Amino acid sequence: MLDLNSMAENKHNTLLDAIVQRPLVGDGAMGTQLHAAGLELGGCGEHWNVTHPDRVLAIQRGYVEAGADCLITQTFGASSINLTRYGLADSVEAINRAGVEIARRAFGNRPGYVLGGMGPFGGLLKPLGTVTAEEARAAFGQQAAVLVAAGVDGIIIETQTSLEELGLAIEAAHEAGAPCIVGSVAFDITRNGLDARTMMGVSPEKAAEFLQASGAHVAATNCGTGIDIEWMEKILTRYRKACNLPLMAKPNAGNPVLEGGRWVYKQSPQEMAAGLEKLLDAGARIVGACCGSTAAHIELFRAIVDRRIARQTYSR
Amino acid sequence: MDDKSKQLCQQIADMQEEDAVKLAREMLDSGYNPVKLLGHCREAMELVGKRYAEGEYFLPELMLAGEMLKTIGDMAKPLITQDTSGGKSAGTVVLGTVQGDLHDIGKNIVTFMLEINGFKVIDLGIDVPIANFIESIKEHKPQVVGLSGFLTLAFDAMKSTVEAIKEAGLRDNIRIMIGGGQVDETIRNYTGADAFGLNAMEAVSLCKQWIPA
Repeated sequence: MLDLNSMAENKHNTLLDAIVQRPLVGDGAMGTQLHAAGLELGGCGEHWNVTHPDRVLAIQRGYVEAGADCLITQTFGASSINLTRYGLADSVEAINRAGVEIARRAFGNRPGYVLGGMGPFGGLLKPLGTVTAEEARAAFGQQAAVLVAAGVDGIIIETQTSLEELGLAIEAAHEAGAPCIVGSVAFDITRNGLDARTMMGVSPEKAAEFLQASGAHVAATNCGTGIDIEWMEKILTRYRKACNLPLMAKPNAGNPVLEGGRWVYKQSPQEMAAGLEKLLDAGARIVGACCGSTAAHIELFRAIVDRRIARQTYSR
Repeated sequence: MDDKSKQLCQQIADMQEEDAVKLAREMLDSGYNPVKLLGHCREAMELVGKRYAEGEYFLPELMLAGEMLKTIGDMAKPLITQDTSGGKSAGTVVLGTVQGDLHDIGKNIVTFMLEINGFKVIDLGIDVPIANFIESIKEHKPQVVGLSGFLTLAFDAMKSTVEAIKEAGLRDNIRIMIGGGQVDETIRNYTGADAFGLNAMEAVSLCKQWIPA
């Protein structure tokens, strides 16, 4: 039996130790990059881990070369519930294992942390939807077990909007023995434009309290509708008041706009730079980017974080 | 409105499911007009919709209220006699998530909300090929077609679907609404749809507006 913790420590400090010492740079978008690399609309991106590993590797290597300390495996929708929609329920193990291998290969000889990515199962839990808690727990459990066995440094449960689903996934990650668990919630701007809540009505405070109470190690936020990097700073500030976990943020590159018949995320790395400083001020210990971001964004994030580390302005 | 009806409205709007269902049962057992009772339920639903639009309620409340309406509807409908019910649906809506998009949460909620508001919904599912929309429109002759999509890339599929409906000569008789992701007037114009909705309640309002009772 492999001792994953000691393996990680031999290589470098564990992820949790590292974020206490310095802020880490995460990776950029995957979905929008896969489409740019030729993934057809409606295609299963996660299947590319097996069918086109070179293309996934090229995206992740771009982030490593830009200076990312952490990569999230390309396994967002690789639970059995999601993969069943593509007739790929039998490929959970192969796709998740390949996802971890590709991320490790992307780092090559460089030090880096691989976070196993787990997204929502893509439906609603009973009684609102058709999936039972047991079914969701089993699907998350299977995925988490494969990711941990393949040697991830942690698991990130991303783009969550329901605390119940988030809780099931955290539980599954714990049971699988994940050395670090990041819980990441996606908020939307409310109709009056004054508040941020998930589609299920969860406030940043509730999310942060829940993450701490459920035993997550890092409280994160990613993606969201109408949420730009400035909004993420507000969310992190509210997280900070409601819990004392290390924080992480992955903002989109602005909100998508229609341009020449195509949807594009237009916020440039420079436009996100000021916001990034504020995210770090608000306590973010891992900063990456979500939809529409590219290696160029991560490269600038790296430079900003490095300047910070050089100034040693960190109190934590 | 009498006191009991007011109380029922309030209980539904305040998410007191057990109390609301119990009170509705009592009212029906004591001979309260089932058609009138369902009317009160709809009024309560409008209050819920208002709270949702104002950001006080979210998806769980919207769906719980829908569940209450369904439960009470199931109790009341057998008691409605032929001559009082009218019995016809409010109209027909063909609905689906466009080709290439597999998101179904939003579409399912719209289906649910339209159904509890009396519309007949032909739900074509997710990743619906353009041809299926065309066939279904020919077969069911809906007044409204709803195209759902969450991915920004889905807007191209919406546009193609609207164009195909036009080419098939079916566009003039139907209204097309889009929703699902970050839709706005620019996107509506791009896709060629008649209107967009930001949530399930807006989809219901559009259908009510387009299909007069």
